[in-house]
Amino acid sequence: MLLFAVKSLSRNKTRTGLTVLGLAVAVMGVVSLLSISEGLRESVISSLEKVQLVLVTSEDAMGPSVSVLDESLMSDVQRVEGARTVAEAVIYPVVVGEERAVTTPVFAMGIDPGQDKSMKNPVISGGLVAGSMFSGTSGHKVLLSKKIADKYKKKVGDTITINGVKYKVTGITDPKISILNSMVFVPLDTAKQYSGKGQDKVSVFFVEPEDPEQASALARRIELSVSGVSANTVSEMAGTAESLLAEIDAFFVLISSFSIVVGALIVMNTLYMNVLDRTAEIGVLRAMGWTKDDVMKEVMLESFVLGIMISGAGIALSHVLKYAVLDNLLTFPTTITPWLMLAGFLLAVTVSLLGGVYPAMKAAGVDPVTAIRTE
Amino acid sequence: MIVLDKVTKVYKVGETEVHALKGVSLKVRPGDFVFIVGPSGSGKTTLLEIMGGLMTPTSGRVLIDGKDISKFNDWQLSLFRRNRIGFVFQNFNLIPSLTALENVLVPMIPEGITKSLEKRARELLKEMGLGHRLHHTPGQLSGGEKQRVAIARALINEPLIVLADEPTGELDTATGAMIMDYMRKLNKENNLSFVIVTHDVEYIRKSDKLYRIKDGLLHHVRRVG
Repeated sequence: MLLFAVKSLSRNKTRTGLTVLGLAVAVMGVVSLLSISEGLRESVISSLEKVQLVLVTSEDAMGPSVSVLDESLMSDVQRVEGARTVAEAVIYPVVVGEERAVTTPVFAMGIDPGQDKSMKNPVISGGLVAGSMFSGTSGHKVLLSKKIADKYKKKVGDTITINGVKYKVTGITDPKISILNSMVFVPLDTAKQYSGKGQDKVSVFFVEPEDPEQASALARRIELSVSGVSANTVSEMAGTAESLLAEIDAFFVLISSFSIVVGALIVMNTLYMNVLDRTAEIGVLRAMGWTKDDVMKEVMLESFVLGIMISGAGIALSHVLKYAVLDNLLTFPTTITPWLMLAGFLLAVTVSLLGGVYPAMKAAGVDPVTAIRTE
Repeated sequence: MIVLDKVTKVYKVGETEVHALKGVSLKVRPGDFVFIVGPSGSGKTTLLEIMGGLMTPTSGRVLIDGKDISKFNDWQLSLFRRNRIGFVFQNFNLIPSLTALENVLVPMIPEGITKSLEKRARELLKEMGLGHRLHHTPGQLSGGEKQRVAIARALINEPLIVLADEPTGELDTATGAMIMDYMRKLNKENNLSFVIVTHDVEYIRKSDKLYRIKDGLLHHVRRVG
C-alpha cells in the first residue's frame, strides 16, 4: 500500500512538489527560529554561567548600553564589603568599517587598561590572543574581539575605521563572556568623548568579588549601600536571559503554530484535489473490494509520505539557511540540534496527517456505483 | 451458485421513483456463461451491480452459495467483492500510474502482496498473452491489451464469478471477438462462471444462457448446449 501511496503522489508531480516545497519552507522557518534561540542559549547563557562577576548598572536601565552611572559612585561601590576590584566601562553603539548599512549591531566598550589588569581574572585582557592591551585611557587605539577581527580581516598593527575615525589595532581578544565577543574595546576617555554620555559618566561597573561564591551576596550589598544602582551577578543575568529566551521561544512557537495551520490547509488542499481527481479510481478500488477503512488508510498513508518528504526537505533547507545566511548574519552560531531536527520531523508529519484526515474521509465516502457510472 | 430471487430496485431521482428492476429472478450455476442483453436504461447494469454486491436490492434476495448478501453491511460487501467477485468494466478502469502487473495486483493490496500472489499475477498476464507487457503502464497498451489486463485483474482473487459490463464496448469488432474468446476459454478451462452484460448481439452465439432485459424485467431467451 505504501508503494501505491507513493505512486499516487507521483502522479501529479508539480502539485506534490509545490506542496512539499511550500511546507518545507514553513518547517525551515520553525527550525531556524528555534535554532536561533538554541544558539543564543548555548553561546550566551553557558558562558555567563562560568563567570563570577557583578555587573552594576543604573537602576532604571533596560540594559548595559543604555545605562548611565555617575563616575563618582565607583568609590562607593569599591567600599562595599566583599568587593575586590572595580572597573568602569562606557558602552555605546558604533559603525565599524566603511559600510553604510549596518547589518550587525556592534558595540564599543571604553575601558581603563589599568583597572582591567588589576582584576584577578581580567575581563578583557584575560582573553588576549594576539598583540597587547593598549596603554593609557586616551588616543585612537583599539583592541578587537576575535569575531570582529575575523569579520573585518584585521590583524595587529592594522587600522580600522570606527564611526568614521581611524583606530590602530593593538591586540585581539577572545573574552570569556560571550556578550563581549562582538565588541571593540577603546580607551575609556576616548569612549567618553565619542559616546556622548558626558565626561563624568560611565555605563557600567564590573565588580570582582573577594570570594567568587559570595558574588550574589555582594550584588545585594551593593544595591543596599549605593543608591540608584542595580547590581546583578553575571550568572543572575544568565537566569534573566534564560527567562527572556523562554519568552522568545513562546513567541516563536506562536509564529510556528500559524505555519502549522497554513501547512495543514496546504496538505488538505493537495490531497483533497488528488481525491477529487481520482474519484472514479477510488470507486473502482471500492468495487474491487477495498473497504472504506482501506481507502482511508491509503490516503492517510499518502499524507504520511508527504510529511516525510516535507520534513526531509525542511530540515535540509534549515541547514542551507544556517550555513548560507544565519551564521554570516548573526554574531553567534545557530544550533540545529538532533532534538530540533526530530521536532521538525514530527511537526511536518503531524501537520501532514492532520491535513490528510478530511480528504481521507471524503475518499472513504466515495460511492463505487456513482463513481464508476460517472466515469 | 448465485440465485436472485424476486429482486427489485427502486431509485429516487428527485421526487420521481424509477423502477430499475421489477422482480428479477435468475440462477447462475458454476461454469455458466451467461449473456444478458438489453437496450440502454433497461436495468442490466443495475442487475450486475446487485449480483456483485455493489448495491443492495430494494426487495428480494441475492443468495451466493446459500448466503443472502442483500443483508450484508458495507464492510461485509467489500470483503465479499474482494474474495468472490471479479469485475470487468467497459472502459477497463485501470490505474494509469501503475504497470500492468501492479494493476492486476491492486484488488489484493489491502491484504498484502505476497510472492505467491505476484507469481499468480505474472502467470495470469502470461496466459493472456501479455508476458512481454508486465511493466508497461496502461498508456502504453492497446485497447485489447488493456481489457486483457482488466480480465487478469478480475481473476487475481480466484473469484466465484466474473461480472463483465459491456467488456467489448470500447473495442473494435476483431479485438472484441478476441476478448470474448478469452473469456469463453477461461470459462471452459476453469469451469468459471461469467455473466456478461452487453447490448452487442454479435457475440450472443457464444453464450450458454441468454437473457433479455427490458424495462426492468428479465426474459429467458434460450439455453445453448
